[in-house]
Amino acid sequence: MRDRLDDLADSSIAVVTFAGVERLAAHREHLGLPFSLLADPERTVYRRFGLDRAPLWRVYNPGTLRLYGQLLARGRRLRRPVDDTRQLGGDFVIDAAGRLAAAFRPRSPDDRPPVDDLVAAVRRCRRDEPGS
Amino acid sequence: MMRLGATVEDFTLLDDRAQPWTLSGQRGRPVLLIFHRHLM
Repeated sequence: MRDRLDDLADSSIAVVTFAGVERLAAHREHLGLPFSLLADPERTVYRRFGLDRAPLWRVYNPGTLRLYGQLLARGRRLRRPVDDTRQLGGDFVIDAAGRLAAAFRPRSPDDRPPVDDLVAAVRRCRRDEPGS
Repeated sequence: MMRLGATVEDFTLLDDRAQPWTLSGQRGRPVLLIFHRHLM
């Protein structure tokens, strides 16, 4: 994502997490995020966007285990999770008028869309705006 | 479930500086919202 930030320069990007506000600064530093990190500890907004908790068998499916294996092979250190591992993430694009333009609701952790798909969705918003 | 093309209901969350971030405050440009899972 970081190497595509120029493609998203005139967009607003925010990462939503269910960690509490008090943990966000450390999260942001750990992830090295150049954009907003938001706290939704009650997961109100998660649910509003249809992001629920997945069953364990879906969370730890072969694809997810393969992903973790790949990360380990690249030298990434895995930490014991302290958060809810069953909460699914997702990606959404909202156009300049506040309408939902794209929604990616993965059924498992290894089902996130490629960054190119997200960038393309944001670009479509710009193209479809009046006067653009 | 929110449908494509529907207006997204406004919401406010606190950011990492404990400042409010409101969806309607981003009006005028596209917004990419990335909902994170837990950290490994």
